[in-house]
Amino acid sequence: MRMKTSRIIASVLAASLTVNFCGCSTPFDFGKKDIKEFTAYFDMNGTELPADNDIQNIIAEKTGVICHETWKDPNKPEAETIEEMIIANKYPDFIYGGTGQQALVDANALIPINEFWDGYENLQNYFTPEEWDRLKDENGYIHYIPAFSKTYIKETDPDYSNEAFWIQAKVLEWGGYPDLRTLDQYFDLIERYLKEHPENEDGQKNIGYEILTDGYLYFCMENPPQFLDGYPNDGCCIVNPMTMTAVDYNVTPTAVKWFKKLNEEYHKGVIDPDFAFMSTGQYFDKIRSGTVLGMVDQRWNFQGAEDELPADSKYIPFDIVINDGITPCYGSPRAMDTSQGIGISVDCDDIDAALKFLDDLLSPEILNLRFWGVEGQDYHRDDASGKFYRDDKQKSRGFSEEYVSSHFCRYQGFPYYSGMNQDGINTYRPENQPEEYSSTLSGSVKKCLEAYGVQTPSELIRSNIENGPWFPMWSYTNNFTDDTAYGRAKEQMDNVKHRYLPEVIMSDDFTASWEEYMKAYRACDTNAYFDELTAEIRRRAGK
Amino acid sequence: MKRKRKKKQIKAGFASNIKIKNKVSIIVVTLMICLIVICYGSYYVVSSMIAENKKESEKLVAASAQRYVENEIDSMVRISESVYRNEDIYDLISKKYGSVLEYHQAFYDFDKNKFPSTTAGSAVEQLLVYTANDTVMSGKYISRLSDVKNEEWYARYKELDRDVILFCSSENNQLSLIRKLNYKKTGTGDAVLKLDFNSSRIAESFEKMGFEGRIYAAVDRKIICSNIKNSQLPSVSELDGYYSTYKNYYTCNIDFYVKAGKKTIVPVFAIPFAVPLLIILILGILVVLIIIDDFKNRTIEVCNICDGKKKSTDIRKRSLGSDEIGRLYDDVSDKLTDLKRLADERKNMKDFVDEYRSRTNEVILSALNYETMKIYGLGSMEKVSVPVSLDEELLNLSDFLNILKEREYFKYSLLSDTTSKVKNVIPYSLAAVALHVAQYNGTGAEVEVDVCEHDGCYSVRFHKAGTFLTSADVLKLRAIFEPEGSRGLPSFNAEDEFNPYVRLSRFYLDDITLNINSKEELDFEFIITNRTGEKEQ
Repeated sequence: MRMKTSRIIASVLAASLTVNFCGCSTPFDFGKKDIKEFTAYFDMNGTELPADNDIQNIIAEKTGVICHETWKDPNKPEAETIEEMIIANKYPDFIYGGTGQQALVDANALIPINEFWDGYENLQNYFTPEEWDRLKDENGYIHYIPAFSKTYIKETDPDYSNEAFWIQAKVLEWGGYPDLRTLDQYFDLIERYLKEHPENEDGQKNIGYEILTDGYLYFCMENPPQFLDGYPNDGCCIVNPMTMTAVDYNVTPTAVKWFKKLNEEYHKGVIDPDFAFMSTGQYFDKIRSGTVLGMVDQRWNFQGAEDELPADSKYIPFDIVINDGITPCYGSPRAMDTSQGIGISVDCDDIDAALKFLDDLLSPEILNLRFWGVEGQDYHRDDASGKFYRDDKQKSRGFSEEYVSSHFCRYQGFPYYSGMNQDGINTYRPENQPEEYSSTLSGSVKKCLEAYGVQTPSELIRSNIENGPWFPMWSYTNNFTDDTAYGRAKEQMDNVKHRYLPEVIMSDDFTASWEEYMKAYRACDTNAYFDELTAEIRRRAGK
Repeated sequence: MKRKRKKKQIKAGFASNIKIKNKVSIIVVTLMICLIVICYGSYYVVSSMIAENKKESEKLVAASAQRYVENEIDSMVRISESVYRNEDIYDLISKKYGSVLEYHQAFYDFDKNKFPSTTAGSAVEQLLVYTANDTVMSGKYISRLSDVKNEEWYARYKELDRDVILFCSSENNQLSLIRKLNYKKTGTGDAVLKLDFNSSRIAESFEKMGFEGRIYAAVDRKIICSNIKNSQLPSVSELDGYYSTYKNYYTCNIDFYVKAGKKTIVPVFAIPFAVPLLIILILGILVVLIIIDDFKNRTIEVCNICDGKKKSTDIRKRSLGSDEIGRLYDDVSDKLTDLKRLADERKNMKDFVDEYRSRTNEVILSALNYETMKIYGLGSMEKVSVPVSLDEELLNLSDFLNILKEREYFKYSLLSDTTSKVKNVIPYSLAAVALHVAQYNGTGAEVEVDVCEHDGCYSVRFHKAGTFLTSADVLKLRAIFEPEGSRGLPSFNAEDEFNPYVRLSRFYLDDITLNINSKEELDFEFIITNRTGEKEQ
């Protein structure tokens, strides 16, 4: 008996000694099966996962694949890395091309996915046949899969993340939570608040309304006329559903009213006098300072800066229209962006494994791992209702940068379903679960939502109509190049708008400036552009 | 001549008296201590080597970090140089604009076509030209100097009054290069270029060094970049443990602090084939322990057998292997089996002898009975078998001698100085001897019987003058009184003339000694010691 004890102690001692000697704390990984390693590059901002990410390893065990992701160098212009890859003719296994997607297709860098996807049902069922058709090229090949375009059952994002007229919660509180529906009501509130509060608590000058005009983000200035007229965010045109034609929102009466209003507000000192000259970074700095009372923007663009603001300076969205009688149409269902997506490169040595990985990532089990984490550790399941929930510890861990980085792996550039979870009971991620969202609200935002009788900011965006099959048209124009007449026309129009619209707003003589702008605008080959858009609308509608 | 190799004699050492169990415990503990010592020794040696190299590596890393920062500052300076000489910038800021629209037109053209695109992906995070020309608008690339007149960097720039300064903001630790733009005269007042250092690029370079430790580049104790995100510079006392160096760039001293991390030994699972090696090590230890355990158990088993702690029936039931201990076990088993057989045989022989003696005694008693019946007319066996005192026996002897005397063929003298009451004399034994002596070699001679008591012993001397014992009878008598063990069994029957001698010998065993005093005459005596077990019956 004594010997047995000493033998056990000796074995344990020996093992622990060996481990201690080497200063090791990593767990044993006996029996780890062979894991296929893939590489992926995403031409968008993202964060690389540290080695030994928990959920990445779990997914690797379950799918047999681990994918090492790299993201766009923030110091490089968009698509520059893609161009370098094309020149070197050397690609990672998966590529998300971003604005360089079409260049990848043109360089024959991507395999035709639909030629190899037999048997991968999760993947094939990701889009409807009609939606897949929209991704096919002239030869019927699908080269990439849009990753952010699919909503399961319904949208569940409590934070409205698209374009709207935004206004700070403290301004609404000061104004007694008015019902803001029209442009005049919106600016009237800001004007009144600014008159009474020319400076914030820190003595900084408040900016009534800010306009971002830098680069392609100048949509904040140029595309509101489509929304003001009650149309969805096609981005480059209004689509007349009756005639199936593209209508130019730049020249509508509402456009005139919109820019005239901006002109007036500029001269009233509501609009930032430096708006036409600032960079995107300077715009974010101003948002971050809390001095900007309102603006038009997509929330995904300014969210990073807004996150640093106190609750009373957070922004609440409004779906403003030009006249009260118009039904707003801001909150479109998630648009299918056919202009970019993830593809498998011709350098991938195991296409089947790559497709299986994409297929596995769309399975309910892996989707839960990607967005909810590990059951029991990151969330709990109520046995009776099937509802997922997180306790306080799990919620607080979700805010720990270190924990999130080492534990969660969303494979965020790969396809997934937003909206509801595959079980139809929960939302696709914890942040969207209504109970969880309401528990995170506090202060002014909570008060504001209660005042407007809603539970989430999304509910403030009133309509959510079904869009036509052509929606969104911006996914088409994003791929225009100057090789075509309509591509060149787009570039000309963009240049003109960049050049003249700020001047229209700042001009002391709006009418003259507008005329000057129109003259320059009409000099562009707008017909080629809109004719092409009309053709695409009809193609997408199957006409 | 061949030298004979002397065989080494095995002697018992200090370890020879330690029990096997304790020896095994000592071996196991010693092994573990050795393992610990080896591991610790290796660890110590490696750690010492690492510690020795630590300072060197810290120095090298600090030099690399210095080089990275220097390169980035050089890049920043090159960019500033290109901006400094960019005439389009001077053109833009030299003009007094009549309206914001006029400026916008000029700016749009500048932004689209003329601004040097050197900043993208470069060492510079932000580039701004500040001008005293208040007709420009603040924004991308160009800003009004009047907006920043109260800012820390500008105050410092004015204070130093130099064309180029390097400045670190106390607000956000931003390192900036500030350069006076005087390449061309603007006519609109001062113009200053401010380039913000892209510290993330340096941090990235620091991280890419793969150095396991902390690297800080700091100005006036403000971190400008580090390989540890969101870290704060340690306190002055903590910095004592860091390797530090500094370099002056323009108006700024940049300090570099480097400290290697504690985790300096490669984790076991980073070692190639770590898992198989670990398994081999553990298996090796287990094998050694199993062998020691086996050795101990079997040795103890052999000892138990030798000590008789095992049932004899268990001995041959199992084998303990074919090695030396196994063979020893087998040998011991065989020998013990032989011993057992011999012991059994001895016991059988003893039983036989005991039975033989008992039968002999019975025969002797029967013979004595017959003899007493025939010679002395005594009708009871009890009278000749229950011990009596010497006095009683002397009385018997006297009566008996008197009877013989009365038959007139016998002379005798009986001398006795004893008064012993100890009942340790077999009755009629001495009388029978006297009869034998009287009748030996004819009657007629006087028989003397002297009984003396001395020191708890008494002697009975028989003497018959004029006759002597034949050699054969001397031998017979001596044979009868040989010591126990060599005393031969009487070869004569119950009626033999030596029966009384045999009775004496059997009764007294070692307590009686026969002394033959003379070969010329019949003269012998018995020395009888008191038999302690037969006192005062």
